[in-house]
Amino acid sequence: MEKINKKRYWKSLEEFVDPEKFNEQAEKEFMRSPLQEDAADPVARRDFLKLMGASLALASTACVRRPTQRIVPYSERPHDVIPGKANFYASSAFDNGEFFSTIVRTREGRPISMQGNSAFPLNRSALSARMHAHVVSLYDPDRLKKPRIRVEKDKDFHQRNWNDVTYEKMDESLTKVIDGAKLGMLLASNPSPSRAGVVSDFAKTFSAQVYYDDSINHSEVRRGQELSYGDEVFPQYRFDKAKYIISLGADFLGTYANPTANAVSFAKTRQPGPDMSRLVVFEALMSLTGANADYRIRVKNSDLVKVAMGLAHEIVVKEGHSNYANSDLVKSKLKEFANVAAELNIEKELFSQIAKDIWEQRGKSLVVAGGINAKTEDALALQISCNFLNTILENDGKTVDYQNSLQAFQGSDADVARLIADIESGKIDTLLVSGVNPVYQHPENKKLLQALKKVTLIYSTMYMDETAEMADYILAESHPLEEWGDAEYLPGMYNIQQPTIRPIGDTRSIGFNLMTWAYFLEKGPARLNELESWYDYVRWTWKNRLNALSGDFERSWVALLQAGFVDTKESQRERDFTARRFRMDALSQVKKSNTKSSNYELSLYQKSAIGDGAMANMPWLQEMPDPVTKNTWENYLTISYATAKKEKLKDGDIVSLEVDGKKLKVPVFVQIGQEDSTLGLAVGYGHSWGKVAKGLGVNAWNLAKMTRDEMVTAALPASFTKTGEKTQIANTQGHHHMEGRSIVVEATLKDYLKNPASGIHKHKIFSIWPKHEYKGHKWGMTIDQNACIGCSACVVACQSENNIPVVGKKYVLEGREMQWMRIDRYYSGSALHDDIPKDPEVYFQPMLCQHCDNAPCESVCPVLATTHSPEGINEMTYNRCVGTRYCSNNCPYKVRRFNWFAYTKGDRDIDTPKEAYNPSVTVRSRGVMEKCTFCVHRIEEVKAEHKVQGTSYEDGDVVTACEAACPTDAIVFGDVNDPNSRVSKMQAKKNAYKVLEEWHAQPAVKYLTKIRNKDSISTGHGGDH
Amino acid sequence: MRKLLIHLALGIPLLTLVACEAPSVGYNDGYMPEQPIPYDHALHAGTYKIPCLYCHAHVDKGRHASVPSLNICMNCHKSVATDKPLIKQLADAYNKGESIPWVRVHMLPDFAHFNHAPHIMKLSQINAKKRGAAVTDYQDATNITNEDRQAACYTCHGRIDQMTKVYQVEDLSMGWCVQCHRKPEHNAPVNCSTCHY
Repeated sequence: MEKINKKRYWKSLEEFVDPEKFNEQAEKEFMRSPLQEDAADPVARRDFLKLMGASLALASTACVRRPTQRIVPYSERPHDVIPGKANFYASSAFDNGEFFSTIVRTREGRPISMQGNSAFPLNRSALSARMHAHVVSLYDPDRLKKPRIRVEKDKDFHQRNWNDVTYEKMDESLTKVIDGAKLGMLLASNPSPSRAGVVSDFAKTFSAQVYYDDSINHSEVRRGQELSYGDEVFPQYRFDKAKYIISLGADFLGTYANPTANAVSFAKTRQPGPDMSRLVVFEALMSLTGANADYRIRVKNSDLVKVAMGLAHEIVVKEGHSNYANSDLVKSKLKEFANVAAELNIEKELFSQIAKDIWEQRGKSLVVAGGINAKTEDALALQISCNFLNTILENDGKTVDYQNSLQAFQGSDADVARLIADIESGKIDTLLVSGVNPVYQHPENKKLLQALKKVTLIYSTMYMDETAEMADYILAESHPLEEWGDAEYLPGMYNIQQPTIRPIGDTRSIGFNLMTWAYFLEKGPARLNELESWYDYVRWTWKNRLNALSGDFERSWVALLQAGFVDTKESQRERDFTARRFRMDALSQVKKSNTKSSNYELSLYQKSAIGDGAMANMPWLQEMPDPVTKNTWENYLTISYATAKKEKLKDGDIVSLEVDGKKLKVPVFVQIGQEDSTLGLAVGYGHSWGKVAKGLGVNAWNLAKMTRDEMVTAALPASFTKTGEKTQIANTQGHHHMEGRSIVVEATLKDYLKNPASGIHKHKIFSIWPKHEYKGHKWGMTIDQNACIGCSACVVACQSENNIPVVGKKYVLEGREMQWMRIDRYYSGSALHDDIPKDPEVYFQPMLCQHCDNAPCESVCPVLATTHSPEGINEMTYNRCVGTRYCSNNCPYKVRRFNWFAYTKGDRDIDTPKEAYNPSVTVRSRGVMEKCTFCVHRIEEVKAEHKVQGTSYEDGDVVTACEAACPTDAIVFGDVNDPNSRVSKMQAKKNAYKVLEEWHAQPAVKYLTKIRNKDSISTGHGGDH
Repeated sequence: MRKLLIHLALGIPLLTLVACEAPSVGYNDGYMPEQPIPYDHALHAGTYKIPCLYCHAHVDKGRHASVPSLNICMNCHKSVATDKPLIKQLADAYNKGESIPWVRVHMLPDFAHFNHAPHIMKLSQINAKKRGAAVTDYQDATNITNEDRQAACYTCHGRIDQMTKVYQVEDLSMGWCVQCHRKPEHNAPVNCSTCHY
């Protein structure tokens, strides 16, 4: 007898399979006692601590004079610096194709944190997790502080010997090298007009060839656009204008193109109501976008083209819609895709319904495809069929904005191939590389590695990375926070990058280097010789543009610096454009490929924290739990549950993965919802450099394949064998567990429209506690689970703001990660008895201290270290805490974090550099409990400011770090005593509920239910008792 | 190993006992360190009546009272007492772009956050009210005099204008902070996160 289980919610496989055992485990909140005797050291820590405690008591009565502290004032105080007060500078940042307008906060001239520029339409106040770690990378001790010259050129590159030199010396040597050389430049694409200017000036002067290669190439998108419409552009996808979105493998919320801006624009259409958009995702791996889908359909990456053409067949041939309904050419092309749904095991009615719905929403729908996880041999065909669908659906020019296109992703594998050919033919003998790390990223391309050995290699970099190991001249590059820059990411959108600190080492930007060499060689246009600094060159670039705006350069320049950006084509941004003509001959690229006979296909993908791996040396990013897998510190081979069962594999089993004869040993991780024959492996790991990055995971690029000079990263025929070895993957999803109580509340849109409170279970509660009275402010928060996409940028923003330490893989395994904020990821779904649902739904629930009115932690603290403030904040007084951990035991939300060791001493490689600490927040030491404070230091700063200015608090004056970081406005903080505040209005909504309300802890945080835009009625139960 | 640890654990207090000559328990009130330049507050603030806020210019704007940067000293000492050896030392440092490493007198532990600005504001308002002035707004400088502000400083720092060598008057303990916060006329918060976060 098969028994259908009722819908359940769970966080990890162990929990689903054996909930009882899992709960038993979860009850042991502190997973392993550190007080147990360590086998290696016979003196138990406890004994030592006892003795130390006694002796400390003796010692502390002996001498209380504190060590003398010095106050060293400025000799000449900089005009704008008030000690103890933060300054904010508008700037911008560019990361692997993604662009941000930023506000950099500095204290005493030192950048300490960043947030988005809320006036800027693309990313607003949000930043990606990587961008929050940008500040730490500035202080990374691994950064090169001086340029280097290889001592002796050694053919086999075994001689790892460089001399540290000054830039004066470097200029002297390099000008000799450059003069008369056959020069090539391999650069990452960059939206900076000044950079483009100086590169073209330099290239013309020295007749250098320029090649573009990005750390993640999306050249198939540009090429696909060119073949389909004639113009090589990277369109801006307008999710905010779309009511029906189909993603074909594109993880646009997590990693594809500019995900933060995508999330901002996507969230605008996700308010529950009749206008809520629908997201349908066809994908093989479980991506962040797939996790947020209303309907997620598992298909192989090699079948994505079929899905696109199958939908086109449904619309054009079966339904007879669109301008192409009478075209015999199109009909004959689509004929072979008539039975796609059946071939791919997709529910036929669902597939037809999607086609019908999306046609219904034509002009307001959007089909997106791409990303390295979908870059199969058919990547170009996928782009073309995706473009074709958008044209059929009349989306081109509307939701596919080809005018306001992204000025990024010019890099291509074809350019790399051209470079190799040019080196081999002797056209290039000296190569300057900047912005990319080709040796790391193209290990599969043996021809490139051979070619690089033939040239004199000049490499501009921040780290001694893989390419630096091969370089003859290493130019220590400035951090973007140290250098001037600019950007025109959208045409006509002018952005400026202001430096916020002088270069810490003897470093330069590549632009200034090019200027300097031209100056010494007395060649090139006058500007290269006459302008003195890179700053002058940037200003020179903007002179004409800004003069055209106002006629007063200086004033416009200052205005631009203050605002961070100026949009000269604002009226163009929201316009619809006429659809471009689709070139039918492009369809000849689209062929129905026959799936190869390989059992498994490997797809590489990016993790949202690590991305291309350029910032892999940032411990914050390594320890950020991946939004979907919740794993930290390494990469692993994701396999589906069915595959794991079939191959008898468990989490952490190491397999030898083989693609095309190339082998890699990786641990496996069972990912629910993954397509059964697909394997996933993240890029960005396996570095040979960096105190933190070195030795973490494996370099997945090794398994990529070069086909017709294009790198193929998806649907690679793969096989694996068990090695019998085992490792532990540091996974956080079972930690801080709330013991199987119903915590996430969901409803379908259909339910919601009938009853907004749908799914919420109301309890009748009586109180034995007297009610708190809040006379002034009462701080509260709402978290909209429907808006939250789980990106985890808030986790890292909180880490940056509150000086939260990183603990390292060893302690993550013991459940001691310190992030105050965690994003609980739940799966749900009903399935046949004993089996895991193949198509689980995914929920994200940001969980942080709930600042309960009847806080269970407060009543058990023996030393009153955690108390209730008159404004409703659950305070944590570090200096009172003696570390009993009772509070954490008694916390139903499991949001308290204990400092088991002195993580902030700075003696480990993974410690946050002291310079990056926020001076407004106490740095905690060993033995102290900590947790979310509602950013009380920001509240106190704002209150002090109001007192001094004689003004009063207004809604929005205090913005917590997580609230600012959220791209989808899921988090709202404010005063709930003010009935007009945003948070009060949100809390009054009918779909707001408190987690574990029946416990009567009276949390100050309310959650809004997750609404899925489905046609069905959900099984979630409501009612009350 | 065990023995070594025990020796280590017991040895530390003995060493500290030997190292300190005059053991005392409590806070740092009375602490009067030598300064690299024996700056005389009694002369500057007392005799010449230079307002506190002339040098400690940010005390009513930010967290720190801020020891003045050298350019503030040099505003006067460009032309005043230029022949004195200590002023020469000061001018010398300033001209070289160097600073003076003053010894900190008033020190709170890192986990206690004190913000000068709202205290100066509130206390000088109270002082002005005591005089009978109608005060509503600190920004309205017409009613708050320099004396009001100066007296605000004295509340915690004592009569700095009479000190040749600055010392710590109050013990700056939490109890001392709280007794003032508790005064009904001050209407100040006493919950933990007022200072500890």
